[in-house]
Amino acid sequence: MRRRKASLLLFLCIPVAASVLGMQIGLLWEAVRRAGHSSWSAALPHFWNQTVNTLLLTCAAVIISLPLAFFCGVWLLRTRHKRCKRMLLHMLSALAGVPSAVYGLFGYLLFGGVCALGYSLLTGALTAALLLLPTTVFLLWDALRRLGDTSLRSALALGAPEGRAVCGVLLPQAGHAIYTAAFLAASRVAAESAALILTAGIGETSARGLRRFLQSGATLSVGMFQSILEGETELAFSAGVLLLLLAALLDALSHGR
Amino acid sequence: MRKIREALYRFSVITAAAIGAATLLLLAGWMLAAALPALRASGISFLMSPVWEPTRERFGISAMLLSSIGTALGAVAAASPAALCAALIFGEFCHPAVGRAFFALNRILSGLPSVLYGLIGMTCLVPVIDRKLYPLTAAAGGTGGLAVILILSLMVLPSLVTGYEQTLRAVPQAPQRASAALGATKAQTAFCCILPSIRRSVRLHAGNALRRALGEATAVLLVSGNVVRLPSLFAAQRTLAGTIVLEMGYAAGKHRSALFAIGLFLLLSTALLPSAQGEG
Repeated sequence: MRRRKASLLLFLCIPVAASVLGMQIGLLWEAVRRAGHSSWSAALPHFWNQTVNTLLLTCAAVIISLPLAFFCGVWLLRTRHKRCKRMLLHMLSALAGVPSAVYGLFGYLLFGGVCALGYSLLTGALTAALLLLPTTVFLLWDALRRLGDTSLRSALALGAPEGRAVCGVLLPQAGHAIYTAAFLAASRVAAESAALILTAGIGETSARGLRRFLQSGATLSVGMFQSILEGETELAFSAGVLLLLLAALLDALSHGR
Repeated sequence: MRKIREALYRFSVITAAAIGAATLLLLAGWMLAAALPALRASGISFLMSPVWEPTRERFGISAMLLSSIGTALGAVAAASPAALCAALIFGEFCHPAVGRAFFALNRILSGLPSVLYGLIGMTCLVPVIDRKLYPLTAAAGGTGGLAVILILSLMVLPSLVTGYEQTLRAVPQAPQRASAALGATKAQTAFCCILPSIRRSVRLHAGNALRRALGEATAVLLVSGNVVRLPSLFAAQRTLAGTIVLEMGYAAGKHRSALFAIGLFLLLSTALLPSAQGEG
């Protein structure tokens, strides 16, 4: 490619890149500006319940899916069945792209119907855990592979049984990756709406403690969708700004250590 | 004690792998079982007919299917080159601090709920489209294909930018140095050496974005107008995923089963697209 042609192409790229940045800043600015118009003193008690729901559901989903993902990653790392491994990888990468609305339908049938949990935070958390599974498995498996198996092999050679070697040597080494994966997963659940409308429902629970898990409760993003449908866009914008802050916080935490 | 611990370890590893494998099978099997009544009732017309009238038990998804495919392809076709340009400019040709800020912004934006994009589209984009293109938008008031495409492309942009940034950072340095040593400018190196080497990864990330755009429900619902009709840029329409969320609340019997059939169809079509994960 000639020098001038390449430079010309590059100069064509610059306005595109600038407009991408401009649109994104405009989007943030618009959300913050609109949220500024709403009355926060009236909105905050309304959000308190939804924020608690979001935190509970997110924590539960991450706590359920991380151990599963870690052991799944260990299986992928240690297995000798090449074909099984390839098959599992194909299935997981197919799962990774399944729309969240489909997970919602599945969770509604399996956890809500068969397990008789109905619309509840627990149904939502279990569904979200399944939704997170493929991505977290890939994250953790990648991290485990990159650690290399020298230390694991040495532990095994010193006579440690495999369970001891994995939980005592591999797990602490993968701590950083698990920490990052947890916050990435949390930010995905916090932003989720379609799957949770179908499983956790849109209720406003008032129960305290663990009983809360058995009642239908809207998370922040589901509540946001509901208030848009009810025409209260200002309220929705303030929820959006709360979610924006939450996303920024989770991102900062996931890089924080 | 030691034996119990080992057995427990082995059990949990195998269970975890089995759950990973069983999820997809269960997902497909269960959806198929739930979808069978509607599929049996409408047969091939489920895919071919554009008429969706649940009250008269006429379930045809082709209009919504075309709308889904059209908007998702349009969004990825718009967003993918723009994201590549942005990743290239901010990653290679820019002050490092500006680049870092841009990519941090994109990481945060990719964690935003899609509802927020829908809301911005509904309150800012749709009125602007309505005002600027008035005679065309008279029927739907700005909602429709164009608004959906714009919102979907805004929504997939951040994750595409993040993906491309990681790809560009993983490109080996040696060929770039060789290219510079041969007297190529930075621009020539970028277009002739870096971009061809990441073609495969670009395709995979675009595939991921396509799956996300196909499956998006809530953001699309807010700007699409929600009338089942053959898609066009300025007429109200509805997508497959949007229908599930919109109608699941009150559906019963055959209607509910038809929604599960839509879910099954979405599951199969997204599972068959190429994926960037689990490579190598």
